[in-house]
Amino acid sequence: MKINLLNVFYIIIAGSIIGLITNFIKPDRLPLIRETKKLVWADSLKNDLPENINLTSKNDTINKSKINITFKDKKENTQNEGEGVELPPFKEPVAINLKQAYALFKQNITFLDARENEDYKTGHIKGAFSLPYYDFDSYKNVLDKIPKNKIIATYCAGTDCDLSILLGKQLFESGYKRVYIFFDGWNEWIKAKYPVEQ
Amino acid sequence: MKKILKNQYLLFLLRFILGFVFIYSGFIKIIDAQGFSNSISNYKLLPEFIINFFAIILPWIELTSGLLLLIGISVKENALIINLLLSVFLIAIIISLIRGLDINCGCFGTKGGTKIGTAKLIENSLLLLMGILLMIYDSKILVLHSN
Repeated sequence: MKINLLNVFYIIIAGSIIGLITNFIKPDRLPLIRETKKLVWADSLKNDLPENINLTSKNDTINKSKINITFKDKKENTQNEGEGVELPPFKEPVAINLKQAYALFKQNITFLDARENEDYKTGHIKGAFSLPYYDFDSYKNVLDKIPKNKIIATYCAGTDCDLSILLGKQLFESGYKRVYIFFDGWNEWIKAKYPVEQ
Repeated sequence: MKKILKNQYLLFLLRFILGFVFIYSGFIKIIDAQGFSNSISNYKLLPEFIINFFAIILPWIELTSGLLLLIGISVKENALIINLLLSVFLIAIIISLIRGLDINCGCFGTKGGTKIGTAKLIENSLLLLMGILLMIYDSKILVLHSN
């Protein structure tokens, strides 16, 4: 087994240099230093959010035709009957915790499951749609049912996965301007014994 | 047994398979560099600032080695590079499985990708075995250049 280690070195260097040059030329080049993902949390944006988003128990009765959501700034309240809730557009997807997600759930906000369809089939948040981030094109027709002005929330397994963030960003770019990212995800949801279905 | 492993057709077949796998996986990652960068990040093994550097160079090393292996230039050297890469991937997958991460492999791009798990371990180990055979035995047919 005679191996020329110098050649190994040359090939690796050549590959690396070609990689760096082509990346530099490419229009969609990657920055050399990765931008760290900074999530904007709902807690830091309270003014833009419905007042009762942090409530978890007081608002148990849901009126499906008229969703009870109120704003701190009443002028911004553009509530539509049966159409869901209108919120001012976000500047970017907003991350929410378990409590906030449950508050939204009780107000019939649409949840989108970013995990693989197989995981969705084993169990998901009640009423959620499956939209696997890695198979987006095959499932994107679920979006036909969701108007762009609706509030949506994405989730995946939990804090270890970032599919919810990726899906949230993709949906935001495609025109959904009221996207929440339920960052705690499915694992925390089942721990809390909140409504699920298979 | 040794005779079978030394069989030139077998060695060429191994070069063909391994070469194509690496050309394909390199190509897919070059097209979706951002996706590959996200995949590396999911493993949570490397500091964030260095991830993009690897996301830029690794696919090209894969592509170059795969191509050179296939056309038969420095077969053993390229087999060594491929084995090094496979070992790193294998270790990354094992660590992630032990840590219980539920992530996509990112082995062949991110679209429709498969999750890490036993199947990925077996797949990687088989490829590694092929690479080791190519490092040990001389592949002499359809070779452009060897040392």
